[in-house]
Amino acid sequence: MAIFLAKFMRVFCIGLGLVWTNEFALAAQDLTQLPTLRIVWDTKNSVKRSRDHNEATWGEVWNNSCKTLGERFLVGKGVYGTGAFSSYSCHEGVSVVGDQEKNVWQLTYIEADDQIRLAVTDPAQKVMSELAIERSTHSVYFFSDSDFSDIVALYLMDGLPFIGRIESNSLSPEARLQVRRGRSKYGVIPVPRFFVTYALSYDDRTDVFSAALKGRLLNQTKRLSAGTDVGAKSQERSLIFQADTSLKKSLAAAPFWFHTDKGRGKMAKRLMTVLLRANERLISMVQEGSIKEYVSGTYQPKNTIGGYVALRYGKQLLNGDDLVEKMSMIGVVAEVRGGVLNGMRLYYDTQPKVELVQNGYDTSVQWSRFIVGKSFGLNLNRFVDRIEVTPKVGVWSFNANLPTTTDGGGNVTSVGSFDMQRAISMSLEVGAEWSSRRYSLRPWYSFDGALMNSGLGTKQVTSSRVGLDFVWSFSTGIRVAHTRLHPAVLAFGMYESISITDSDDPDVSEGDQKIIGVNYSGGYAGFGLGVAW
Amino acid sequence: MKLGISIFFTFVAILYNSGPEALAEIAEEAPDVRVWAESLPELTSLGLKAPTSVALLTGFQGDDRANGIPVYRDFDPSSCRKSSYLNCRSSADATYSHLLNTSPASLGLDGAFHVTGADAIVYPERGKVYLKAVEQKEPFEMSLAVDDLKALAPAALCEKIIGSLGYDGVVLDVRGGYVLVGSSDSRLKKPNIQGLSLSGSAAHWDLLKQEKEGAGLLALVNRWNGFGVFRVVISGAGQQKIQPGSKIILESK
Repeated sequence: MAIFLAKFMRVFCIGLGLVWTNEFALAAQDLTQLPTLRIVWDTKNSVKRSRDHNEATWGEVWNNSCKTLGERFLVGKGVYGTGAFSSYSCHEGVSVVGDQEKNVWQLTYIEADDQIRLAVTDPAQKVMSELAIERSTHSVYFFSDSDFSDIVALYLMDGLPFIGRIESNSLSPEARLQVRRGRSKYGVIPVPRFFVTYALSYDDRTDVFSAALKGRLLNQTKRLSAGTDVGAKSQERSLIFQADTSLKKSLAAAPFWFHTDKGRGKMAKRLMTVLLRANERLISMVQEGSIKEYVSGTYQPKNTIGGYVALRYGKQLLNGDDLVEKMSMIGVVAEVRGGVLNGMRLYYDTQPKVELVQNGYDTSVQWSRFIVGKSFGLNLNRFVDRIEVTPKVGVWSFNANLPTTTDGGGNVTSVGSFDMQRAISMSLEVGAEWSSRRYSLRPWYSFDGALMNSGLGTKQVTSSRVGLDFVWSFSTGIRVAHTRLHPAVLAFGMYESISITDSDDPDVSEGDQKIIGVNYSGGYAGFGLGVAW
Repeated sequence: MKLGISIFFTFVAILYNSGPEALAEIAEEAPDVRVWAESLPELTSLGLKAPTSVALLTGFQGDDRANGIPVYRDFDPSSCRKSSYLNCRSSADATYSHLLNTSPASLGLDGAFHVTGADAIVYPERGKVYLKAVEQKEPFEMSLAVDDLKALAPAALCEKIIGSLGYDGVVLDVRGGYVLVGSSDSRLKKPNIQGLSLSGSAAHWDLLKQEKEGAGLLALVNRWNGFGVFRVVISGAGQQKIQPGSKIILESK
């Protein structure tokens, strides 16, 4: 009896000890079950959405974007066969609390003032991987672009303790894995040399993952493509990874997780370079007003500079009248293409006062004009890229003492004065254009007229001019706000014929004559410096 | 001498106190050592106050024991298991595991424990080699050169680990009149070997400073890869009872 009791107590105590130690052993959990992914646009913590869409439309946009992005988190559906979730679901509104029991992870998308942020959290709501890049008003459209979502998904997966998963039947009979190549219009997505496969356990007391390695998947695309059934076309679309001996032996015990040879987060820097390029490109599409077409694949590139503003200087080049030969002009010119202000043009030119005593008579000319116009164009892409018509309005000031009569020898025998301040001007310009993203060459003709009625008479200045403008935008630039600015140079030439008329003005002092009708012409050529986008 | 006298009188005391009990279980058939050893769960789960799973480090990145990423001795872990009961953690598994972690708990000496699941880690620091058990607050210095830590075969290192703790083996399991002892092949191969279980030793990781008092006498029945099945010739009672975690001294008769 004593011996029986002794044996019973021994077994009982050992059993109790095993249970006790197993409590600690179970704290490290084997991660074998495939998680699911809940993708949420956290609109509650995001900035207000642009009003160009209603809520229903934004919902549709989000659904499309979420589907494109979510697909790439599924097992084998990401670039290079990445992806480690069994399914995903799309949600909008508030961030949903993680569900520990059901192994649900969450990808949360937030639009802050100047950034968009994506974060992947585990069922315990611990952030496992995150990403922040510059925001635009329509960033949510970006995820409908397959290449963009490829990069975003890969970046976030790279930050997790697993980037992909293989099952026992994932490999071909030759123990090969064929995966989608990461071709991107935004640049090369880095290719891992090999993947490391492993079983994974996690200790939630210490937040530490432990891997038991099973073998490698080696990138054998080039070796296997030569002379095998994997032809050139396949190589364009896919890569081939070959299981090594160790993995082949272990495969019966799959599923296993896999990650790159360098480990978690080591592709981040290279992926971010490509991602920033992609984001910049898509932001420019938003600014151009072409984001929908771009992500849907129907975008036709506009071969024009996006716009520019420049300071310019021109000098009178024609020989002839001595006063006219002294003339020069300084001005600011701006042009916008794309966006809300598409077609807007703005000119401010001024001619500093020039004076000359001609045959004892004081002559002078000074003028300034501020003009705003809106161009309406038609893309031809035949002989010329585009033709335009630009109605303009402006304010013109003109002050001159100009010769009104000369003798037979051409000497000034009388001068007339003309003064018009801030007269409203109207004009119409027609032109053609050859252009690309880097330059614009435009011949044009414009007729301007400014009229001022003083009650006793009418003052009028008209300008008929023809010119040629050239703008060159350099490829290097800097980012300012959401826009990339490039230095630009201008060159222009213009021939202008000005006609001045004035009716009788009894206030003219004795000895002075009013200009009844005077014409003069001049030809300017000049250059300018500015920025283009 | 003192130890010998102590052992003798202890032997006499055991015989006096537990004779009938000690003899009652001898009649059972001896279990096969390999079957017994392979039937055990992961030894770290037994909760014994003895190293069962060891990680071997050659240092820490930046020489930072607290926060540096551990650098593991590169070797095939199966080479350990053939010669001793100790399970040497895979350096490849551990090294790659650190690449998957971002938590500060994966760094330093503590990180090595967390990542490997080992219950003892051998590492060099300032020209000396230390062994630290997971439950010990302070490591103790091993009589091992740093160069040997990097150069010795893992089997020889395991031998050194066992020998540096003040005993030759540890009881892993008890079945009837037999105990399964974890030790090393080199120790168990000695001729005419017998074992002496030490009183109260199950509660201590090492017996370097404890007085060793015999609590039971064991006879080797069979051995395999550092595991030995011993028949309990004489067993003590109470604190002297042979139990899992009890430490064993091995001597040739």
